[in-house]
Amino acid sequence: MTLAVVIALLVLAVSVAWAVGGRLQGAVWTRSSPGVALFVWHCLAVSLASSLFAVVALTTHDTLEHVMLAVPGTQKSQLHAIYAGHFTVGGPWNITAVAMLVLVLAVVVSAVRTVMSRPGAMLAHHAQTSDVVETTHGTISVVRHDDPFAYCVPRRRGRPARIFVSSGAAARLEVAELDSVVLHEQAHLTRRHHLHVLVAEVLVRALRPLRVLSSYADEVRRLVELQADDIACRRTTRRTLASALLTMAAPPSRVGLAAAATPTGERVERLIGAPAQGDRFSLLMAVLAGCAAAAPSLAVVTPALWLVLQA
Amino acid sequence: MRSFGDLEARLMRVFWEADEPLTVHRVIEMLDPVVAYTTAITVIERLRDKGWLEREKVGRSFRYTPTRNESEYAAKLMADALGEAGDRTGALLAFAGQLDSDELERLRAVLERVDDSGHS
Repeated sequence: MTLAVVIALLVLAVSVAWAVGGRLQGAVWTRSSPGVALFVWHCLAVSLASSLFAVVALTTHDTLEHVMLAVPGTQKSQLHAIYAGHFTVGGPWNITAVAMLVLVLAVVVSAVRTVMSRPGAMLAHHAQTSDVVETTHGTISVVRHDDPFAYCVPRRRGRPARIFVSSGAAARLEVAELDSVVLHEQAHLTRRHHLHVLVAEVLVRALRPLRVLSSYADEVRRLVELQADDIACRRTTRRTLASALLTMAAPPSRVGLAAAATPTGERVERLIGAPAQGDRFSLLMAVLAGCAAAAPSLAVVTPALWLVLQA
Repeated sequence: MRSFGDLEARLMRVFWEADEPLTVHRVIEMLDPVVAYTTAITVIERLRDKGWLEREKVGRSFRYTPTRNESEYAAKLMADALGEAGDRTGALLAFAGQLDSDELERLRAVLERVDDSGHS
């Protein structure tokens, strides 16, 4: 039984790895449905992580059991009874499960700590040297800096969310363009895009040795930009936002502000091309990805539930 | 609670505004709100380790001066935080990356041909 589940989980993991390793990255449909694509990426990442976790847990359990049964006079039923007596949930699952959980927690905590280490010195400097300015769509903090840039910082530890725009950007942009930048940044904040990026960066770091998910974080960064553009365009024109993007993408005067792998060219082309329509294919992908995400947990939990119900 | 980064930024501003070498005691007098001596010396020494301050011994105490002006400091912080050199930590979402001048010209030309409704 365990062997069948392990093989099924490995098949699932390999299929998901095949899907994310080329099929999904930059796929045409993700351009028109960035929100669905975000969901699909997260589901497949969770599916891959949890199926590999389950495979390791199951094989560790069986290996442990074999080692213990090698001691003369030990019987499987005895072994299960001992562990079931000490822990409420059945079988020698327990040692394995606890050890695995501790390991996973350690990996996740370390990854979260790395990802959350924000550029505190820059944020503090900008917070202290900026002027609060009211715009049509809300308050922004204008940082005195000649290069055009804008970014947002989510609410954290009681400090409110803020949108920082450089004085260089404010001087170059027309009022409507500046408004479109503010709308885009507000979309990041309301949709909690920082959390999407955080989850992706953490999973990529946790599964780094496998390299399968290497493009996950970059894709999430790309998709949240596309989604924020779409949300901004509900209250501004696509042309205005495209024009703002081109102004902001101009090479800086002094520092190499080569901001992350943001897909600026793709975003401009998408905004000035024909508006995209969502399609059925993206919904099918979402359903498949949702099933893939739930499958490993179900495969592990169902036999355990069955055992518990039998008892 | 104020973060370490906050205090670093406040201290650096005191040095830039002073325009002369300062002792730790003088820095604390100029800070508002005041911080403890041990906190100030820790942060000042850390700023020196990072290369933002240098010190010289005058009499029995050290005097510190900034090695770069405010705009150089700002530029370095941003290059570290948002640039490719940085580890892209912190999940910062910047509005736009850069385009090279050829790509910029090409896209500007396309934009010129688009009418206000966003259709070409």
